[in-house]
Amino acid sequence: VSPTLLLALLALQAPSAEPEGEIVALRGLRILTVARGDIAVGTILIQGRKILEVGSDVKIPSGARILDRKGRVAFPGVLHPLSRMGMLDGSPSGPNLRQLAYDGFDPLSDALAVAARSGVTTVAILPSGSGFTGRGAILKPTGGSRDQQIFEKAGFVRIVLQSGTAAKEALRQALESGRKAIEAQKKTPTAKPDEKTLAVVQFLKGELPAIVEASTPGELLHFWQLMDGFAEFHPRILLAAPPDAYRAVSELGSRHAQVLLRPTLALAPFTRERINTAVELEKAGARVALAPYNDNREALEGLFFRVGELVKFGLPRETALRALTLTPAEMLGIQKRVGSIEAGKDADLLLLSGDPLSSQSRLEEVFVNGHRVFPGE
Amino acid sequence: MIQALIVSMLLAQAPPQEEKKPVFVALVGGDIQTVTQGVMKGGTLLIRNDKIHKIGAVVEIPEEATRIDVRGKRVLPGFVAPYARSLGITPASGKVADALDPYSESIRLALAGGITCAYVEPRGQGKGVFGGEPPPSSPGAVIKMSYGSLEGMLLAEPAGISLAAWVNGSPSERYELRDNLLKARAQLEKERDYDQRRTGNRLKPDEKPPRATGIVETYVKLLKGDVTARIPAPHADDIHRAIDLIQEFHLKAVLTDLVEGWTMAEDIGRARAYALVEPRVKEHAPRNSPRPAGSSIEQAAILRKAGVKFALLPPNAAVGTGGTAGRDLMTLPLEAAFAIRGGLDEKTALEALTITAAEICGVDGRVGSLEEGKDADVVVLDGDPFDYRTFVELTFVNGKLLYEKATSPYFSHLKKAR
Repeated sequence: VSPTLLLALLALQAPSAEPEGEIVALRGLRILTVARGDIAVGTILIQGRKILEVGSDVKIPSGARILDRKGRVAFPGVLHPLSRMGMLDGSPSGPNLRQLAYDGFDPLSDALAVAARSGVTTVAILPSGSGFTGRGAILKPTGGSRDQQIFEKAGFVRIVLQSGTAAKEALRQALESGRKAIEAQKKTPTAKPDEKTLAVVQFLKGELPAIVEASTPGELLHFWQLMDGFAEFHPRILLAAPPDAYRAVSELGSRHAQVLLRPTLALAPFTRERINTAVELEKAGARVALAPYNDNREALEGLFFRVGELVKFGLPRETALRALTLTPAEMLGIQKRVGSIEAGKDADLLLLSGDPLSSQSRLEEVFVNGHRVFPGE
Repeated sequence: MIQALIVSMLLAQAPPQEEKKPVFVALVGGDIQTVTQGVMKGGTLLIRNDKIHKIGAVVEIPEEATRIDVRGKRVLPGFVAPYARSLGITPASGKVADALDPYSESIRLALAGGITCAYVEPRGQGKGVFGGEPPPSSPGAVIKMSYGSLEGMLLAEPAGISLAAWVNGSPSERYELRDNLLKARAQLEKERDYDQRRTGNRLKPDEKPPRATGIVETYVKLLKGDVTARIPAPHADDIHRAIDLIQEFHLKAVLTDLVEGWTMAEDIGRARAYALVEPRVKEHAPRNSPRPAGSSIEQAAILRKAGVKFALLPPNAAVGTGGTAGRDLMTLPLEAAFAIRGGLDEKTALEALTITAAEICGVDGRVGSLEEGKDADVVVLDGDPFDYRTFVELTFVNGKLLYEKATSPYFSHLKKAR
């Protein structure tokens, strides 16, 4: 019995194991694992939904279906952390603490198919509104029902920062309600926060990360000032950077902020000087994940090209590739499932004709949860 | 073992934060125009953190200080814009404090013009017609051009309130405004009565201090002189009407949009009202006018003779790179030059750009002149402030160097003409 098979058997015995499935071997690949460096020529074994093994000298078990992919480049599926695809919630405005993006999601949306064939295999969908807008979901564009696609029904909270007294007061009150619920729970442990404040409580306790969006970098300063009043909590904050985030580089850096950034080069005002915000932020001490600037085909299919441009202007290649995959997965706390090509992770893979950042590379195949979603069978 | 434990306990008790070392900046060798305490040639101005620490011919400069050689340059207090449109705030309604936009490019432009402080109004919730700017119903505030920093940006709020309705409004709006001022007066009397009885221990059990809300609350501050009334009064009849209100309620008030202020300088002086003068305002007198009318370049000089204190405004009270150059807040000192052209003395002209503007906004205790203990809002100019060839070289706000001509995208390519 080969050690690989033994491992597979062990995995099967684990309580959360997937039902046994056919083993598929992708052979002859250049593998960019993202987590553990590049493998010049290697094999990826997939069983069911999961990656069974990855390496240069993987023994292919007998009975495995072998797919010869000599010369192809394997890359983990891309994570889109700032999406509204498939959302049919009618774009409500204002704060809505109990809202779930899950409830407004259309599993049959064409946008999901576009995402899948563009290499986006994990999507965080945002509930709409402003202020504290409720909780977002995390899904994979596999097709099928809502519950087949969504794997985190309430994966994060979303806060949209707005200027003005009324908006700031509403956000402060929402946070205050969360604090009260937590204090009540400390006094009487049986007391549970009501549905309305649950999301705020989860945010303050750091149980769920928050995607915090600002339209101007100045709003970030207001937000930090507000959060100073809640200093006893240690929430996990992901900042969706405003277009001119470069203005706040030193502040974001000194706070070691986690930043979700659109992959564009900014121009210093009144000049033609390019600013590579991602590079500046990383240098200053912040951590950057890159998000497509939109949900449309152009933005998704052009993502690698735009990221390549950031690399051309100084962003380290490793950082850039990680910023599309493992970094946002870690920020959202789903790195155990997605974000890299490693044994035990979901088999979300892109097979390309060449290097992902080369404009001449073509995306040839996309696997999500071990199934090939592009091209269709 | 026990010793180690005690030591560790002691260590745990001592907060790890150490006293923050003060930051010193020394501007050495410049001609310091203090505005309130004369000119010191070749002096040194020492900044400690966010305040002016020392000014003198001989100042002991700490070793760790950043020394900047400003020999041959002028060192002045930062200019105070007595009014600015959409500068440093977002268009959100409500308090200015909640609309501050410290990373706004408009702030960097203002700094390039030597402005360190400005009076701004939040977007009003009044009736706008076809998107026209509605009269602000909420009070204005004084903000600093502290680019990148929310801390220390808001200097005073509320600092002023527009009483435009008194001049421009319908009779019912005018009635309402006066009615609210009367309510505020009654409220103020109640507050004074309460305070007197409190100091005399004559309060009823559980008596609460009288409270006012909304506009009456702001008007109470107005009657106390903590907030400045801003009344647009272009023409003689408007000025008469404004003066009536100012005298009835003993308001600290500033007349804005003045055109015919020069025809009523004595009356304005008697009412102890301030003025905002736009030296380049131009308006013809009506044909066959029986009295002096229309604009005059001498307006500032005439107001000065009548003892009226004033600040200066450009034709367009905004900052920007569009429009006609030299007509907005980027060249505020040039407005003073026009007032000087109309007969004003240079000393008053400089005061109008700094300490008087600060006084009108109620912040002259903090800014508007170079004095020890005041905020370190300082500009360094490469020449006479009223010369059109002069550029701002350095701008400090709250002790931080926030503008340097040498590295600015706006003016670094321009050399001073000799």
